[in-house]
Amino acid sequence: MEESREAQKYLDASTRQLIWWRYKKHALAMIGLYLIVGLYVFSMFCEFLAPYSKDTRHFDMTYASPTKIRLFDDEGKLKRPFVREVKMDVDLKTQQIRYLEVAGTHYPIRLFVRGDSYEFWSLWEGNLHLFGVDAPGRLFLFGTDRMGRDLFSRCLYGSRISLSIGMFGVALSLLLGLVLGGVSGYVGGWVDSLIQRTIEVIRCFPSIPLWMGLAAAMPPHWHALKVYFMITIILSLVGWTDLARMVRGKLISLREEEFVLAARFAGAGHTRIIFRHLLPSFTSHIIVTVTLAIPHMVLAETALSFLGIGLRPPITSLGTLLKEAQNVTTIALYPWLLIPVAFVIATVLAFNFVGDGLRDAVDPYSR
Amino acid sequence: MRAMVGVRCAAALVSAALICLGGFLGDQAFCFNEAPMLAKLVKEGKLPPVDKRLPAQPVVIKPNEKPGVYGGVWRRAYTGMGDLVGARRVVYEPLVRWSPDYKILPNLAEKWEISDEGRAFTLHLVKGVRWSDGEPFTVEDIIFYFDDVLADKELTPSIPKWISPEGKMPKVTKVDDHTIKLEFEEPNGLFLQQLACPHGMELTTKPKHYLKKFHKKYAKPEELDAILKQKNVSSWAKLFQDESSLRYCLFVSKEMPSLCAWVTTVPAPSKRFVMERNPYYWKVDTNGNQLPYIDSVVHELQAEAQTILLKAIAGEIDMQGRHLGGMQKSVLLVASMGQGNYRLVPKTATASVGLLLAPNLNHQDPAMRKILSDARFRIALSHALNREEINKIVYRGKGLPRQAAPLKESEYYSASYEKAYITYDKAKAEALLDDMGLKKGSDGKRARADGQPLRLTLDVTAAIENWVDQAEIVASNLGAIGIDTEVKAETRDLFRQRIQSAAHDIALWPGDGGMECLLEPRWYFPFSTESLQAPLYGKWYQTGGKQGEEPPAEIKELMNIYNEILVTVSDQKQKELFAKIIAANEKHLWVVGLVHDPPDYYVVAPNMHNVPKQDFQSWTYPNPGPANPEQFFMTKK
Repeated sequence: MEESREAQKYLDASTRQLIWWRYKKHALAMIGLYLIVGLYVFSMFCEFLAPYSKDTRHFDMTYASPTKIRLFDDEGKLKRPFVREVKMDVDLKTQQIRYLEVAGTHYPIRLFVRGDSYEFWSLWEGNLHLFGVDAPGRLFLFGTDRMGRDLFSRCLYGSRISLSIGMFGVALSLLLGLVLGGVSGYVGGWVDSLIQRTIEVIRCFPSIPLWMGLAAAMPPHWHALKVYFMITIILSLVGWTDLARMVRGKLISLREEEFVLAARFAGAGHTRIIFRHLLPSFTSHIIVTVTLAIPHMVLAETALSFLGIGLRPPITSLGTLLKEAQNVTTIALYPWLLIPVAFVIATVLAFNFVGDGLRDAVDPYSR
Repeated sequence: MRAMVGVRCAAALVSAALICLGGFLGDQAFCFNEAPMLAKLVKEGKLPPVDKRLPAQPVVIKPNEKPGVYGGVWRRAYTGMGDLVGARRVVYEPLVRWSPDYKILPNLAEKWEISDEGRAFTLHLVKGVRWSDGEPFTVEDIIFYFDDVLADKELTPSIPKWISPEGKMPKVTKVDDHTIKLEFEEPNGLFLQQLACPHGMELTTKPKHYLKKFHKKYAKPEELDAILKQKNVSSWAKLFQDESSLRYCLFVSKEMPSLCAWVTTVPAPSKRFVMERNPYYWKVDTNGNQLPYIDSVVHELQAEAQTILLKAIAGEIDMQGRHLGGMQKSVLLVASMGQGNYRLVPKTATASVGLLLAPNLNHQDPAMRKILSDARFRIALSHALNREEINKIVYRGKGLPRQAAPLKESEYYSASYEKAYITYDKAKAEALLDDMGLKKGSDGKRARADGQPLRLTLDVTAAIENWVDQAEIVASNLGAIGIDTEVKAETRDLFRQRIQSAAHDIALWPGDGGMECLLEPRWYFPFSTESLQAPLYGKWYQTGGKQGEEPPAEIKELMNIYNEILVTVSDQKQKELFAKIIAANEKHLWVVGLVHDPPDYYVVAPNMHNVPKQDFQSWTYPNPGPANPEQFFMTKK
């Protein structure tokens, strides 16, 4: 009885529900999903979530290591998390910067504090931050860089740029891939050959030198924001080929199916056939490909910026953050400047897990 | 054979005694000594004995700390052909040289007379100096440079300015084999200083007997053609330039004779570029030991400067400053010093400031030009800058906030200009701007008199990270007094393009010429197109009024004063004249200085001795050359 109700539930469920059930069973994919949602929420609301603005310089706190968060006060009593005031001191003998905690100071980490002002999404001004400490206490979760800027805040702002490049870039790729792949697969003939040969040529290029060439061709006097959009376009111009191939393959196999013939005999136009009958039958595949393409975009942006030919300061992305950590001194003395790597890894892994989970789930009837 | 040696030794003793009589060497009499590796060659008969190789009265170098011992390999690193500048700094042998405190000293020219109010220079060369192949070095070699290189239109399209400010050839006369007279049309007050600069080595790197075969005038046509074909070069002029280019001629050929302490045996660009001691080197220490002490200088090829830093930390570099400079690297070097692989020797930057602001007096927009030409505006900028913040962030608080004024070590130092307007005083700055009519709007941003918003762009070269950092700090300082400021970090090419056409608002560049004020006056008045505060006035000055823009009277006056300095021989008079230029700068503040950078370091191995205690870092003073690297020596570890 119990079993048959269970079976009935499956029989009644819509495809979407089935996919979701199947997906939920994939533990890694669920972790990935939470991570992605978390990262995007972080980067969407980074003005509010970051305790400082990305460009605020604490010039008496350059190269500060991550702030120690304490739970126990001097008497060993449990308190709500707090930090101590820290003073910078340059050791004259070794020239190293040391940070000394001022004993007895006590600055609890508070929620909803007023701090650096910002323009939220360029829409309204604010100065409310989710958490922070009162001056002169300072809270640098990931430490600070050479200008005394809070690395945690910069990581959030940096992920905004890097993740959005991933999204926009893939959206553009998707558009190109769908249109060109669709035309290629549906029309066939010499159009198909032309598009396929073009794709082959593009795919023949080793991708890093191709990006480098395109990025180097950008006029150097462009504003950083324009560079950002161009980088997005460059990445997607190279990235659309996979999608186009997939769409074409699917279309070729589907266009000879009976339901397409039926639609045609019923007098449906090309547009209607493509959008109403063909596309929906492989959306799931597109979603999977897209999910797997986003981390590639993020990595590509990071690589380009790391090499110094992608985004440039003052635009902060994970790549530009890593570029600043690109020397022996950093690795030897200020290892926390490498934390942005963790964001890159987390992003890429999360998307790959989600993509994996989706791939297994989109065919809910398979075993 | 033994008797022969005895005779020679006796001869040397006699000559040494004669020298003593002349009071040249002090009260010691001796045979000259040589390095074991050369003594071996002499024994095998491959080399004449040392007293035949040295001049009768060799130049005596007093060791920095103590007389050294022979031997050792001086390990350095370089990044390729473009980096041979580093090797040039080790072999520095012009006619006159810089002393370690940046004054003129005799070198290949042992003395000189200046006559005809600074128009005529009579230089007496050290007698008996030989090229590294044993041929004598005489006046002929210098005349070859003037008559056959400089005067040859194919080789030298125009006479370089450092020879004479008006770009004209001097009249060159051979007085005798070791005396040469140069006569200029106009007095040439800075000629000796120019000779001591790295380009002064043009005169001492032209061995006529060797270069003849590349010169159309001397070579047999068929032989020259054969060489051209063999080297695959299109014209003889190109060939000659390649063979004699000061940039690399001493380092890319084993055949090229040289007057330097070390000569190339494994040419660059190889994995190990090796220079070995010059058996004919013409300097001895106070004990009569032929220099150099160190057997060979080896540059290892490292494509990446960061690797050189790692090598230095690991103790695989014996003495080098190149590629180890900059705050970031210095910090790591100091931090890793505990391992005992090296010690650090500071070298003071001779630039007056690490970075300065050059507001463009030649701005193409009349409204902006009016603002930037107003001294009140520049003084307001200076007061608005938080130099202490820059010092703390960029230089760890070890720099010195100051204007682009001559350095304390310089003869032209002015304490009042150094400290003029450097207090951080926002109120004063705002008052000055209000006074100019640049009123603040309701949004807190200032507007120009014509109602347009006042916007500034800071042009800075992106190649050096801390320059961009400093520019960003300046931009935020200016933002705080209501000037909307944007940083434009660009490639060096684009930067040059923009500033040469005077398209910038404010350009940022290091304040070169803090020590060598007369040789590098570009920040004291618009001297050339490199004077970013007014490149078009600079052009006007360089072209004698034919191109560029005519400057206003107060700037013209500075140019006249400088012209007067050029034709003045007396140091004292030069100083007085230059003081006027400094006073005018203090009044008008044409450029706004930020912070003088703290010293960079040489990494020096523990077993390397006689190196300077401190040095200057400059191009005109090719450190460590003036500290006599030939008397550096290495003990066994």
